[in-house]
Amino acid sequence: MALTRDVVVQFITKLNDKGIKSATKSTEKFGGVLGAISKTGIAAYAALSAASIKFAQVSVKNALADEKAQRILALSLKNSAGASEAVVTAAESQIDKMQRLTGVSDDQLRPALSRIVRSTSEVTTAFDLLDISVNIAKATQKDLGSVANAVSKAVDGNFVSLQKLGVGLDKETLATKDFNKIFGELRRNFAGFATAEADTVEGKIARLKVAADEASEVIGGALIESFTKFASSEGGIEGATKKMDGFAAELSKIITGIGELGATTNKFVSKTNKLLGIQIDLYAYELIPIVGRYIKALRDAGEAAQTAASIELSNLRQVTSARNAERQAEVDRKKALDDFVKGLKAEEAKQRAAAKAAADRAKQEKLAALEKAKSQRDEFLRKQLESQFDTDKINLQVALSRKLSDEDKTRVKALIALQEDDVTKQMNALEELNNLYTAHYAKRIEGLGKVTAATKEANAAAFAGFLTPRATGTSVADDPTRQIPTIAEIPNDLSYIADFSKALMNMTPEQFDKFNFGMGAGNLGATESLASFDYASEGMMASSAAPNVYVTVEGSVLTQGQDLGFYIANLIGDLNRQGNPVTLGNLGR
Amino acid sequence: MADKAIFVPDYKQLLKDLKTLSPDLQKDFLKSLKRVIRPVQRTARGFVPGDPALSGWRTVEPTYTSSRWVDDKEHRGRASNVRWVWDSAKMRKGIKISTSKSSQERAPGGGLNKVNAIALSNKSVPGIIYELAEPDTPRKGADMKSRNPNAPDDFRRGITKKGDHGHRPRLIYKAARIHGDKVQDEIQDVLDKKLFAFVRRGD
Repeated sequence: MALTRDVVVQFITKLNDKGIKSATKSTEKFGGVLGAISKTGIAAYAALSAASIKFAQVSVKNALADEKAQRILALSLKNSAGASEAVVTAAESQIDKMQRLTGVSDDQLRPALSRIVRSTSEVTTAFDLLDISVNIAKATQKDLGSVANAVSKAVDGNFVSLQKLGVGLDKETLATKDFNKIFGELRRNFAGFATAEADTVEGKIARLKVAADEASEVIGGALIESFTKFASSEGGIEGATKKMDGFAAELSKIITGIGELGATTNKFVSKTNKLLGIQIDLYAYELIPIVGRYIKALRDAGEAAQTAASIELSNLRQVTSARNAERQAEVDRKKALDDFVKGLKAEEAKQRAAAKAAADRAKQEKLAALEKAKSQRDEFLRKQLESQFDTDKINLQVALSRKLSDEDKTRVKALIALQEDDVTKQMNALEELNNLYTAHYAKRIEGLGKVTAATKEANAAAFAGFLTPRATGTSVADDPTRQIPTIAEIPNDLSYIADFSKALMNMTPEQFDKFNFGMGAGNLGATESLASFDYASEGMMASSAAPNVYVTVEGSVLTQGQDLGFYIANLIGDLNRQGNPVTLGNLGR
Repeated sequence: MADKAIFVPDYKQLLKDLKTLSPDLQKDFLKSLKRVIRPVQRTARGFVPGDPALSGWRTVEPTYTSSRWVDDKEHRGRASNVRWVWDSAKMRKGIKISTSKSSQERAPGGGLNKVNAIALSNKSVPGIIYELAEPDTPRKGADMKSRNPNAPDDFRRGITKKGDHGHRPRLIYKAARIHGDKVQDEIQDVLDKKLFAFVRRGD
């Protein structure tokens, strides 16, 4: 917590994007500084010691270019052919051999191989095609890059560029687009061109140049390493920049001095060789008195520094690898977090969708309920309106308002209940009807009892003198009181029958009603139940017990002695329970 | 008081992550932080005097009667004719808890890339003057325009002599000195408790 331009007490601080941009700009500026250093350094070298500084400059450039070309090739091999580190190293070794053999520098071979491997996606075939390309380039005096490009296009299926190279392929061969055939012919036509060229004077010079370039690259790499160390020891690039002028001047003197020393040493060795008659290698400098020790010490220091640099480089690679692993872990962690967040979002979306679906369902149900309620209300209103114009109902109401018998009134009420579709009213109406019919039939049964009694009385009165009633429980044959008339006793005159008819004709209606079982005057066809007759009196039954007589009513059976009214009431109840409501039609009305 | 604020390198990402996980979680986190700082804010506000620190420090805008004064735009501030009148209420109200707004300000001692995330700020101009006025305050900005060439020094000397105002700091920095360590501990506690391990990154 401290003062800022704003009067603020800071409790938590965070990373500023602006700072990152500043850092990026600083990096870019750093690149600019490097460029400036390079320019300054090269100018200084050129001014002080043209040859040695020029060599150093070229060496550094070669080393940088070589490192860049190696990096690009390695990436191409990895990306296009899926090559491992071992394959990349082997490829580099192969390129080195090829350049020394053919005199074509690796600066040309690497881009050509990169281009070819992009088309072949396979390292071995790429080297084979590179070999053909080098031979063609040597034979046709064309640039290796152009040749490699044409060969690569042919691999991709475009043979036109190959034809344009002028490699002597006829159209028929090219028209076949047969890869093996075309390249087989090329192999035959251009085999050994590069090797043959390498054995010429020009080829040998080229190979020597390649070796020199390689040496230059090695020296350049060492110079870069030295420069990096120097920059580190001087407190960074800026410090190194300030001291660059002085450093360059001193370095040029040293290099010049080394050149002088080399010349002197060479003279010394030559003189010694001549003097002693022996052959001492130039590099046996330790034999040189005093100076040799310094040279050896310098050489040993250089070797130790290179070893240390190698170890440092190895450590740096380990650190870089660890950092890369850490970065990868960070990336994985962020990815895991992203996945987790995505999962959460997906789950939330799922829940939202489910909630929305539930809300939609509830809304639909609510709408349906409202629609149903509206429909019911409309139906009710419609019925209310219809009832205003229901003529049947109106007629029934009018009929009910008139003077009716209790029975008719009950029936009208039952009809109203049926029309109104009111179960309670229907049940009440049915009960009233049942009571009504029960009372009616009870009255009828009571009337039947009276008929029976009247019939008996009438029979007794009418048939007095004609038939003597036999004692109950006796047969006619066994009746001792029975008098069987003889033939002689049978009157000849049967006019009494005519007298009976005459007597019937002379009866008053009341007398006839009595005679006719109370069925009314002239209603001779109406008969009462047979059960009312006493068959025993007719002597028709042998046993003393009266037989049961069955009367079938609508398929049911009524036994003698049962209450018909009760039976009919039950029958109506059964019909109602079976879903056949008693209507006037059912009752025969 | 702790010397340095707590540095959360990816504070912005942290808030974003919290919001992604749950907007309520982010709000709760910021609320908790503000709750910790609020006692400091109350204390600082309590340090604002009711009366002006100087007898001549006006509490209302002056009314210029003389045409010479009315037309004089030179001596009344560079941008407007506003006079920094003493207003205790405004000074108290100007002491605010700032959340990540002053992102352009660099945190001193924290390197190039540290800016305020949670801070207690003194926003009102009279509050800032009262907070920082001191005889040895180096003057920055435009040239002094007062008709009295000794006005700044007179002002600074006067405020240090007046009553109990004493030397700076007087408001938020004074409160931070009193509560600072406790607050820092509580903030750390909030960070520990409120954040998941995967979103918390050490300073």
